[in-house]
Amino acid sequence: MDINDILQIIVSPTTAAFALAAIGLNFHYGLTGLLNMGQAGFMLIGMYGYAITVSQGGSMWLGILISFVGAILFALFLGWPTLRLRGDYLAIVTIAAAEMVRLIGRSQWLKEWTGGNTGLRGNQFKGPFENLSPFQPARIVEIGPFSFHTTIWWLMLVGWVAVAVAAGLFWRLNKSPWGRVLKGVREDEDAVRSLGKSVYSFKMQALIIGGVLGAAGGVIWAHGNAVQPDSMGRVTTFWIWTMLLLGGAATVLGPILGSVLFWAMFVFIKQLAPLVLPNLAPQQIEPLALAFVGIGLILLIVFRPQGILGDKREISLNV
Amino acid sequence: MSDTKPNLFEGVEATPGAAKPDPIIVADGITRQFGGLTAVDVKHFEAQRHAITALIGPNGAGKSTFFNLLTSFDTPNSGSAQFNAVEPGMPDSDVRTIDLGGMSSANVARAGMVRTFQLTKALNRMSVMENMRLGAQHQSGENVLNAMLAPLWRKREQEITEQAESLLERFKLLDKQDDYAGSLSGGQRKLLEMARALMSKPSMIMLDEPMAGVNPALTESLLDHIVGLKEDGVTVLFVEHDMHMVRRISDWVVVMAEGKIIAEGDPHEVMANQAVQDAYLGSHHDTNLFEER
Repeated sequence: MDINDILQIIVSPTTAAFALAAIGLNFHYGLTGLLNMGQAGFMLIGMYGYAITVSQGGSMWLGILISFVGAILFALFLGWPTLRLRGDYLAIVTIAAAEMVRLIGRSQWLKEWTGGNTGLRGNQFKGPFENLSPFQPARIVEIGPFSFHTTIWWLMLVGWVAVAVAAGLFWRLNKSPWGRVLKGVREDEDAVRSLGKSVYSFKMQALIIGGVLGAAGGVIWAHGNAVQPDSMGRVTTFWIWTMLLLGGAATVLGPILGSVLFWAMFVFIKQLAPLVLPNLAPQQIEPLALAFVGIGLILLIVFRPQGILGDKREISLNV
Repeated sequence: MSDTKPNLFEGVEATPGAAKPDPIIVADGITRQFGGLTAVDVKHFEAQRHAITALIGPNGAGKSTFFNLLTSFDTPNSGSAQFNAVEPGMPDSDVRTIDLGGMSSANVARAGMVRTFQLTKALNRMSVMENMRLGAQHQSGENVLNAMLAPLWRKREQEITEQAESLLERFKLLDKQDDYAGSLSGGQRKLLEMARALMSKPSMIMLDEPMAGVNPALTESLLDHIVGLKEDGVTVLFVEHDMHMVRRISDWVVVMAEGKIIAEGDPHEVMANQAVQDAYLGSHHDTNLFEER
């Protein structure tokens, strides 16, 4: 059992990337009550938008712009037919659309750009970002229990700054008249309509903002790993939901705490399992860890539906 | 109560679809079918400005559906409606005619015609004050870009809060302003919904069964508040079952049955109308209504 592994995952770019995606989902579900079951699709759009642009010779900034524009278009595409309907339709359409993105990404059809099912390797798109790193020369740097390569330190810095900016954005908008309209929509659309607010437009704005944050999370994640379509499947969306519900929907810090706890738990169980069950094959450990995450989510919904930081009176799970 | 005021309905004929001297709403040929059932079939309807008009009728008469059609919460199969808006503070002669056909319900509310619901739609998981603030118009902070910069909307928010406080005081909810709306009693929620609707300074308020589920003690104050609205120059159209209430506060009564307007007139006289009595008591009470089955 190595406590350092748990500490390392807590600050890792992966945790920051998922915290971003969970903050995005918090705009959808926590603030507006939208059941977006395709947040992994937004992450994947962001990853592809960035990585394809850069690997085809575009600049890093163009890559970020394209990944955000991609997320905006994806949100418009999903929201246009469904946001006028009952909430369930958005859930159905988003889960299907996220799968479509993944399946198109892994098909051989666009292999030239997407790399098919093998995806895009890190060295095809990480260059411009890593060249901006102020931590030179490139080497492994150890600070306390944390030992990372300088490129990872740089990515972590950017990732957590992005998380702080997103959390600040949520805090500001949550406490603004705009956020108030969304909270009204979350509870009763007709009431808000009767007060002269255009509900459809507000829902669309929330879907876009949350989707762009998901794409930003995807870009960060891609830099810590690679662009691999199958790493962002349906399961990923449910991880993000687990993080949000664990930390507490409609809270500023809930998604961040949720992401930290989720990954810490994940690594902890992965380390604990071989000690408790020595006969377990290595490839069985990860599914077992995920099964425990699932049990954790069930217990959470039964005993603390508002999450760790949530206010039970303000939010509960019945939408 | 209506006797002490100048009679707005001087010379108006007590016939279904009668023309009014200064109508705020004019509806023509409004029909709404649900499958084979015609829920609403109103040939002509006008509501007088600055008056309290009651819409009554037995269950299933189409009152609420007609309400939904006027406020664009539902779309008629045919017909048209106009709203003769007057900006607050402007003389009544300064009328702007707005075609309600094809308008979104949000735009109807923004034009000055705000409604409440039969099943109260107070937002239970928001505080009373937040409910009130949500009712206000012209808050630039509801634009997502402005929302990020608090100085752009803080002043307006202050004005809205003051307006909300004075309305809450009038509706005796001021000491509840920080409570969740869900913790209020049913009657208080009705009051909150009405107060919230007034935040937009509407020229017309449409109340769908304002007394439903309200205890008798609160009914009195609700009635006073409705009369108070009229004194502030707000036109009121409300749906109600209870004839006592209707007689006490309304200036004009419109009776619906089976989707049609069957009678109109002074509240004290309209109940004597034979068609109204038939609608309420049933003109076929000795025929077998179940023969179709």
